[in-house]
Amino acid sequence: MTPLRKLISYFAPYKRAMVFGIACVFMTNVLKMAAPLVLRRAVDNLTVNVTQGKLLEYGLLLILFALIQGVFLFTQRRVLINMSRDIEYDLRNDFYAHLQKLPFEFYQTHRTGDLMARATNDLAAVRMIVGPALMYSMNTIFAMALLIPLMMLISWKLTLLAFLSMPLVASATHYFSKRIHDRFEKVQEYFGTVSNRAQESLAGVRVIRAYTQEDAEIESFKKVNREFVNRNLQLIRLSGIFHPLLQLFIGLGFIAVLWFGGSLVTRGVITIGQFVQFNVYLGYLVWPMIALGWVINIFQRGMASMGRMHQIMSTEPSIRDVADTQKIKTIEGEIEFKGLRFQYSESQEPVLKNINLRIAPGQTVAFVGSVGSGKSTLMNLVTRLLDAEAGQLLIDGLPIREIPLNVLRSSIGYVPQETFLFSETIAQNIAFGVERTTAEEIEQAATEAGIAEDILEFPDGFDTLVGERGITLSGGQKQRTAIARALIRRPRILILDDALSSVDTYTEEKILGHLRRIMRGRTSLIVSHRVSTVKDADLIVVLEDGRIAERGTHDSLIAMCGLYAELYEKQLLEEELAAT
Amino acid sequence: MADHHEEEVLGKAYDSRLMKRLLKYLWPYKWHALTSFVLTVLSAPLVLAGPPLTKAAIDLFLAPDPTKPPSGFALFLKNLSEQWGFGGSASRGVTFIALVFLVANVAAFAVQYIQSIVMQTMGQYIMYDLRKQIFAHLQRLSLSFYDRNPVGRLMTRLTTDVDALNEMFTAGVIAIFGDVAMIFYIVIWMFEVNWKLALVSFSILPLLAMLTTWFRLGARSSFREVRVRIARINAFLQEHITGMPVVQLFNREEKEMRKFDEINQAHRKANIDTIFYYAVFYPAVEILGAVGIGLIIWFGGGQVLRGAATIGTLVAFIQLARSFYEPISDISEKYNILQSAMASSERIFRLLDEPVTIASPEQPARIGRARGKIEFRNVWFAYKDEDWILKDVSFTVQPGERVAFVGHTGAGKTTITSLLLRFYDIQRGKILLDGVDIREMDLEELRSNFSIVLQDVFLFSGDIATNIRLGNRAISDPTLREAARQVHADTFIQRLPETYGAELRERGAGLSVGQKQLISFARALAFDPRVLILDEATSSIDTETELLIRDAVERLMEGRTSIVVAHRLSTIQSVDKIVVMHKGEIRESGKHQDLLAQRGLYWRLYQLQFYQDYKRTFADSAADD
Repeated sequence: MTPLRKLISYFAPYKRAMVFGIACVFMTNVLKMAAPLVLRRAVDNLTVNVTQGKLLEYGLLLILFALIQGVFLFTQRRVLINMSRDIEYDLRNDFYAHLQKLPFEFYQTHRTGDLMARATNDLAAVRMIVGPALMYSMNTIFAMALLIPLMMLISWKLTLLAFLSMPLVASATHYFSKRIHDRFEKVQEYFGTVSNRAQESLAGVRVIRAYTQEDAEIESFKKVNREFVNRNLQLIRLSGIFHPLLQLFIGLGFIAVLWFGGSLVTRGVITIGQFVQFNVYLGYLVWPMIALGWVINIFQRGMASMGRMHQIMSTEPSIRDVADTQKIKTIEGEIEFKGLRFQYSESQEPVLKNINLRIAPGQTVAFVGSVGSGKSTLMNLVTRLLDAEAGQLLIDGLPIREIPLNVLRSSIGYVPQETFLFSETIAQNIAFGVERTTAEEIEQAATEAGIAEDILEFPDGFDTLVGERGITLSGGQKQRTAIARALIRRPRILILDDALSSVDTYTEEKILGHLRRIMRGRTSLIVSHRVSTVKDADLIVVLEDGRIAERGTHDSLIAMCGLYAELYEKQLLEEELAAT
Repeated sequence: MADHHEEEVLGKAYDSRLMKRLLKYLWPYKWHALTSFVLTVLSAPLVLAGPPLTKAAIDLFLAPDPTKPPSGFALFLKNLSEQWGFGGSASRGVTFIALVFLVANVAAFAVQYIQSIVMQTMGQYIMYDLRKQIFAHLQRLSLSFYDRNPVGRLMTRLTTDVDALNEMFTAGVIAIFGDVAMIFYIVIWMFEVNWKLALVSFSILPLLAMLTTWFRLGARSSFREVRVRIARINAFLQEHITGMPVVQLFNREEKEMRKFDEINQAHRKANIDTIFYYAVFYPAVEILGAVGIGLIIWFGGGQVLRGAATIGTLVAFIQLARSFYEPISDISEKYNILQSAMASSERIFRLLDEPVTIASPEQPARIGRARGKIEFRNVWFAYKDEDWILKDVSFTVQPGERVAFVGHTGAGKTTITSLLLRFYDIQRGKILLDGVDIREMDLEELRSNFSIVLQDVFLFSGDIATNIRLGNRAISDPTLREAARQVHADTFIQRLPETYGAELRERGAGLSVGQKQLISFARALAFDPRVLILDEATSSIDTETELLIRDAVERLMEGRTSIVVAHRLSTIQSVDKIVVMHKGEIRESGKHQDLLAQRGLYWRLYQLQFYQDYKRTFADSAADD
C-alpha cells in the first residue's frame, strides 16, 4: 500500500462527516458570493432613487446572509477539523500499537529521537493535510467555481485582467512558504546546537571551574550564539519580504480593476454597483489564492511525513506467533541450544557460533565471559527478543517459535543489564508483569530482592514515584527493583543479565540466598563477570568470541586452569593486592 | 514543581521599572529602533491608500454628483491630475488615480520590507547580547547557585525567556505603534470625511473588542490544556519506546495500549475544545462585519439620498469596515506577548542580579606555580545556615604528600575537595595553599594549580582531544597524547576509527565507564597540576580495566600533592596518610596499618567496606582446597 492509499483508508469511518463538512464549505461559499449582489443593488439604486425602507431591507438582508453563512462556517470547521483530530487520534493509536509489535532488533537500529519525531512532528504534518489542507482546498475550489462565472457576468475582460495578478499571489505563497519553512528548520536545528552547548556548559560547571575554562566556554558560546544570529538573519531576509510582496501583488489586482473597471463605468459598460461588486469579489479571491500556494506545501510536507510514518507502520513484526504455533498453556523450563549460530546481519561476523547446551528444568546455569563474548545475545534469544534460526533453540523439546509468544514470555522473569523502570510508583513497577497481585506479594518480592528496607525509607514507601517526577534511585536500587519485578512472576525461567553489577557483595549474597530457595525446581540463567555471583551455579559456561570455551562447575573449571581459572585468579589477585 | 509554577505565572503587561531596564538593551540600536518606528507610522496611509483613492475615483469620475463639487483630498487629486496632463476625460482621470495607487502600493512594499528587516535584525542583535550576558554571568556565579537552580531552569532563562523578549522587541512594542497608527489613521480619516457615518461604523467596535477578548482568553486556556496533553503523550512515548523490550517481555502490551489510548483521547478532547473557540470566533467576526456594512448601507445610504454623503464615501467606508479588525486583534495578541515578556524579563534580571559571591580579590597575592602545601586551619563550613558539613577541621598536607580521605557517605570528604578549589567559601577558619589564604589568591591562579577527577566523569560533546584539553590551547597534541599514554587511555583511543578525533556521541555513550575514567585521568594529567584531587568512582568495573585504572592513578599521583577521596583498597594502601572523617569531623588519621591496629573507626569502616569481599573469597577458596 502506498502512503497515500494508507492515508485515504483512514477517512473511511468518517466518510459521511467529510461529505457533510464539504457540503457546508460549499454552502458557506454560496452565501458569501450572494451578499455582494445585494450590495450592487443597493449602490445602483442609490444612483437613481430609493426609499429608506428599501435600504433597511438591503442592510438586514446582508446581515441575514452573514448569519446563515456563519452557521455553515461554524459547522464546516467543527465537522472537518474535528474529523482531522479523530484521524490523528486513530493514526497515533495505530502507530503506537504497531511499535509495540516491533521486535527488539528494530529498537536497536532506530533511535528513540527519530521514532519520537515520527509520532509527533510527522503526525502533526499529516494532520494538517487531513484537516486544514482539505478544508481550504475545498474552499478554494468552490470559491473559484462560483467567483469566475459571477465575475465573467460583469465583464470577461475585467476578469482576465484581474486574474493576471492572482497567480502571482498563489505562486509567491508557494515559493516563499516552502523556503521560509526550510530556513526555519535550519534555524531550529541550530537552536539545538546552541542549547546543547549551553546545557553542557551548565551541567559540567564543576569541571569547567576546576580547570578554569570559563573564558574558553564564553568564547565558544559566543561562536554558536553568533552563528545562530546569522542563520536567523538569513531567515528574516526571506520572511521579511514575503508579506509586503503579497500585499504588492494583491494591490496590483485592485489597481487594475480601478483603472480598467473605472473606465468601463465611465463608458457606461458596467454600472457603479457592478464595479463595487467586482471589487468585493476580487477581495474574496485573495485568501483562496494564498491558501492554494499554502496548501500545496502542506500537502507535500504532509505526504513526506506520511511516508515516514508509513515506513514504520508497514514494517512487518518479525517476531510473532505463526501458523505452526502450538496451543500450549505453560512450559517446564528445559532449554536446549542445538548447534546455534547467530548473526545480526549477513555482513557481520556471527556473535554466537555452534552453541550446544542443554539446560534441564531446575538447573542454575551461569555464563561468564568478556564484553562482546555473546552472553547477552544468548539471553535475548531465550526471551525471543531476538529470533534464533529454526530448530537451533528448543524449549521443552519444542522449537521456540512454536511456543506462543505470550506463554513463553510470561514464563520468564528477566532482569536486563540496563535497568529500565517506568515513572510510576515502586509498587506498580514491581507488579509490572503480573495480572493481579496483592500488597503482600509485592512486599514479599521486594524483600526477596533485598530492596524492601530501602523502599520503606522512601517518603511514600511503596507508593513513591520513580523517575523524573519522583525520587531518583541509585543504580543498585534500580537493579534490585527490577529483580523484584522478575521474581513476583514466579517464573519458570529466571534470567539475570549482569543484574547484580551495582549491588554490593554483601547484598548480592543475600539475594542469591533467596533465589536458591525460590528457584528450586525452576531454571535460572545468570550472566555475570563476578566470580562471587556465579561460583555456586550447577553449571558455569565460559563464552569466548561467541563459542563455548569451557563448561563445568566452579571446582572443575578451576582445576582446568583455563579462562575461568584465570579470571578467578585475577579477582583474587585484586583482593590480595588490597590485603598486603 | 516549584519551577513549573514559576514559569506559568503571568502578571502585568507593563512594568515601568522593567521596561526602563529593557530599554537599555535597545539603546545600542537606537537608530534601528527609530528608523523602524518612523517607517511603521509612515506605512499606515500607504497600506490603506485603496479606500480614499477609490472614493476619489467614484466621486470625481465614476458617479459624480453634480450638486456637490469635489473637496479635500478629491479636489487635490483632481487638480494634480489636470496639472500633470491627465485632465479632460473621466477615463484619463481614472488612469491618473490608478497610477497614484500604483505608486502608493510600491512605496508600501518598500517601506514595510525595510521596516521589517531593520526591526527584526535589531531583535536578533539584542537577543545575542542578552544571551551572551546571561551565559557569561552564569560562568561567574558560584557553585552554590547551581546547587539551588537545576540546569533545566537556567536553560529556560537562556532560551525561552530570551525568545519572549525578542518577540516583544520585534513583534511587540514597535508593531503596537504600527497598529495604533493604523487605527488612528482610519478613525481620523473617517471622521474627517463624515463624522456621523464614522460613529455609526464604529458602533460595532465594542462588540468586536469583547468578542476578541473572549476568544483570546478562552483559546489561551484551552491551548494550555493542549500543551499539557501533548507533553504527556511525548513523555509516554519517550518512555515506552526506550523501555519497549520491558513492555514486551512482561506481556504488558494490552495494558500499555489502554493507557496510551486514554491520554491520546484526552489530547483529542483538548484539541476539539480549542476548535470550538475558532469555530465560533471566525463566523462571529464575519457576522459583525456584515452588521457594520448593513449599518453603513442603511444609514450611509440614507445620507446619500439626502445629499449628505457621496457614493464614494459609502464604498470607502464599506472597504474600511473590514480594515479595523486586523489592528484590533493584533493589539489584543500583543497584550499576551507583553505580558510574557515582562514575566521573562523579570526572571532574566533576577538571574543577572544574582551576586557573584566568589571572585578574585582586587589585589591578589601571587604565588605562581605552587609547591603544593595545603593547610586547613579550623575550617567550619555549611552549605546552608548552620547545618555544618565540616566542623573545626584542621590538617596539613606537605608538598608531594598523598592523603586519602575515608568515611561514610555524607562525612564531608567530597566537600573538602570542593573547598580547596574555592567552589564555596567557608564560614570560619582558613584554607591555605603554600601558606597563602586561598581567598586572597587570584581564582584562576588558585585553580590552575589543581587537577580534579570527579566521581562521575563529565564528558562534553566534541572529539576526544577536546575532552582532554578542554578549551586550553596551550596543551599541544604531543603533550595530550603523552598524557593519554601515561594513564593507559592511548590504547583504546588508538583503536577508535578516528583515534583522538573521534566524536563522542551523547557525552560518551559508546564508551565504558572505565574508558571514560581513563579519559578524565588523561585530562587531569595533561593540565600538569601541582595538586591532584581524585574523587574515586565506586562502581565496579571489569578486572582488566580495574588494573589499568590502578596503575593510572599511581602515575597521576607521582610527584604531586594528592588528595584522594578513596574507595579502592589499592589507593588506600599507597598513600602516606589516611584521614578518617565522620559527621564532618576528623576522627582518626595515620597510616593504614597503624589505624588498623587502633581498632577504631577506620578498622570498622575497613571491615564493612573492603574486608567483606576479601574474607568471603578467601574463605571460599580455602574451602575448595
